Amino acid sequence: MASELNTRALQQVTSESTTPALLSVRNLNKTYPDGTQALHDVSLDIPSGQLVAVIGLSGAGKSTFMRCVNRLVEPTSGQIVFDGQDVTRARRGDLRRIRRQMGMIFQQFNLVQRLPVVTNVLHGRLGYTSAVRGCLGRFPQHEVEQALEMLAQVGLADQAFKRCSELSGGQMQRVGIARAMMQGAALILADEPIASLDVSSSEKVMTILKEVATAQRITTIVNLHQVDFAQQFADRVIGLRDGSVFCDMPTDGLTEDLIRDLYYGHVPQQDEED
Amino acid sequence: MVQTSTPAEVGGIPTDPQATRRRVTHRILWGLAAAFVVLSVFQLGITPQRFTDALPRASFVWDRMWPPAIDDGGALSTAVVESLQIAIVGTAFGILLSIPLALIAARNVTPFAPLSLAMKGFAAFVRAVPALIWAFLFIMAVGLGPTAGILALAVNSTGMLVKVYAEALEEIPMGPIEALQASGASRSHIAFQGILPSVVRLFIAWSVFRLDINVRYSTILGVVGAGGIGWELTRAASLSRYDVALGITVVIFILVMATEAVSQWLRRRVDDDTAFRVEE
Amino acid sequence: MAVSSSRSAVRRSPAPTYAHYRQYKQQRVRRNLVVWAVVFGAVTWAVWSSGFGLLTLFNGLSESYSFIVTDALPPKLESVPDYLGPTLETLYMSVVGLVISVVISVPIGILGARNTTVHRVVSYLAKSIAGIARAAPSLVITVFFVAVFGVGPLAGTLALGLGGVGILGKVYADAIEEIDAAQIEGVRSTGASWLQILGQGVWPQFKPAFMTWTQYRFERNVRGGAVIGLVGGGGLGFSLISAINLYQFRDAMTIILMIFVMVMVIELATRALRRRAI
Repeated sequence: MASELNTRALQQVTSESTTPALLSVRNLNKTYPDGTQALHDVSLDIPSGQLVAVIGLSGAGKSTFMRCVNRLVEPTSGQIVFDGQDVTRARRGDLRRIRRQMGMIFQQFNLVQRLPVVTNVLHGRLGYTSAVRGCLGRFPQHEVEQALEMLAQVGLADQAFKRCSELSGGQMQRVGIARAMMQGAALILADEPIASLDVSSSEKVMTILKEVATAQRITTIVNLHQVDFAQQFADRVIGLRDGSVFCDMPTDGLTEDLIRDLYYGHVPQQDEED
Repeated sequence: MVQTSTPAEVGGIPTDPQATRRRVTHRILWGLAAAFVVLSVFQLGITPQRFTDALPRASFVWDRMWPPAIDDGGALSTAVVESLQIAIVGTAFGILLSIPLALIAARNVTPFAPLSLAMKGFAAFVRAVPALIWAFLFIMAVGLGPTAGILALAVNSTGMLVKVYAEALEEIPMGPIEALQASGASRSHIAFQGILPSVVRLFIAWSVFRLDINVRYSTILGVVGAGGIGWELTRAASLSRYDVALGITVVIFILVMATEAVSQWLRRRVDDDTAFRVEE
Repeated sequence: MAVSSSRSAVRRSPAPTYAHYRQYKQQRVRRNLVVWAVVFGAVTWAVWSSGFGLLTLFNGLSESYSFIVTDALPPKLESVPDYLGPTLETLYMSVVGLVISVVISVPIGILGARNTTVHRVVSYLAKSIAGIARAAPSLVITVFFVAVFGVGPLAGTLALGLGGVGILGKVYADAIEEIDAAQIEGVRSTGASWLQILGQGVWPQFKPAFMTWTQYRFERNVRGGAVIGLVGGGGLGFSLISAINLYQFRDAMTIILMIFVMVMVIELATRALRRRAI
């Protein structure tokens, strides 16, 4: 299994293998200052074009894992290699360049509510924009056209000039997806994208994510707590339990027993962190 | 009075000793309050006789009040203009002073945490002293006239604006900032595209609100000699020209209502961008 | 672009193009330009014509600072007992003024609220009375009451009372209008009279807003009561203006500090009482 590879083997994989992993995670640990150990020796390889669902109880470390990948959360130890670049050792400028190749989608959408939809989509280009132009919100014509095209793809063309605060939750999440796509990223990280949505909006959002992953071959990692959605949309499922990889397999390999083990197979801790 | 019955009550009779105690303290407090009101009325010497005695005086004042009159139109318009100047300049400098102070006072922006507490305490002190008292302080220091009025409004505005600006800064939504960070935006990008849009609207709303308040104040600052139309009012009253006093009061009314209308227009104009529709 | 505009004929609403984006941006800029032009125009005019600039501001502040330090500090603590009487008087004025406001504002609120009024015209009248009272600063009202009742706390008390009607009358009416209609329906369906509906259906829902706003007005009254004496309304303000007229600046500073302490103590006390009593 992948987790048995050591660092040297990884280098061979990334440099020599015909299908190199887009994202390689080795022995990732994260301990928060209050002593909570959120991640425990996590090692993974994710090749291009996969839609991977990360499932598990809340507090299992899904969100911390995702935020370590783009270093919104600083890992305690371990190595993350993305597209041949060492994320964990990147300095500020390099980190910005790496981050703009990873789009992120959030549970609470995290849009700037006061700004119009199209500007929020254009925010995906800020990583490529100079300081002055970015601050003033002046984007070149081809980027504006691309943003409008992205909005059309997620079915929100006619909402382009509305304020985000006027949209429904499902619509906001689609704007979030358009913003992530706008980055032209090779990897999309979606952190509980449907946890705040109703069932029909959830299906719409997941369908769009699936389309993006398959049609444009963008690798997508989705944190989910609904197993049924994972089974319906993902190519591969990774189960996290108490900060460690509990299972990692193609979606059809996921059995009822495994799910029961993942979710109920341990004594619930009273003071479980969120 | 209506008491909603709790499960501890049986047939309206409270059985829970704690509820009984609360009810007793409740009654004692209300009793004390009532007693204090009665005491106040006596201490202030408010008796029916005071009112009957004042009746002839009241009818005298009333008779001289009608019709309201403008005595010296030129002086009055100068005073109105001065009031507006005091309000606008006082608000402008109040905003100018408040923005840097609010950056120090906001918990999440402050360069040094104890400084934030000190700044909030200072703002609370400035707020607790009424604007007219500030006007007095400045009259004592710089003499009678509009300068004292402007200083008073600038300082008094600071007390409120520092507080509300700092609160607006403290409530900056962190989500969009995280999102922009994740997309590789630089710090200045995040400040201008992620933080400013959420903060600016609140800043404008509070500043305009403060302008309303300051226009009200500017009309009465003159009463103590800090410039503006209030001075004309006290002068008319002291000359027993109650018709002129009423006329000036009407002008004050119009001034206050007009600024409210203008500030509402400003606020709507800044706030509303839903009007745009895509047309071929 | 060409593709999207030809496609737009089929769609219900046309797909926005870059041209639309420009149009939108320009519209925003135009809108904001008008606002900022008005604001900057007004500020430049006021600053220029009043001759009050940054320099005046800092000079004024530093002059005031040196004045306070040399002439008004330290406060004369030994004269604090002399001003306890006026402090109490200010409190008496605030309390009685509040009672007057509440007594007038409750009927105005009930008659002004659309759902409890006896007639639409009455509602309109009640709201107009509150509106007029709100537009008149209480110091202006005081000037007229001083003319009738002479200098002293009675004029100040009445002015506070009337001034409060403007705010309380409005917020009471607003609070009553927001009451859940279903609960009133319930009481009405039992055949209750208008007064019974008010007591059983309206009051329980109105009470929280009533307490909050009345408390707020009391705090405002304490501040206002300290100021109203400046125009002859009695209380601490009157002591302050007397001290200033006699150039007793250290006494004046003592009074200002006492006003500050009184305002703070009252705010803390009402908050503590509210937690306990309600």
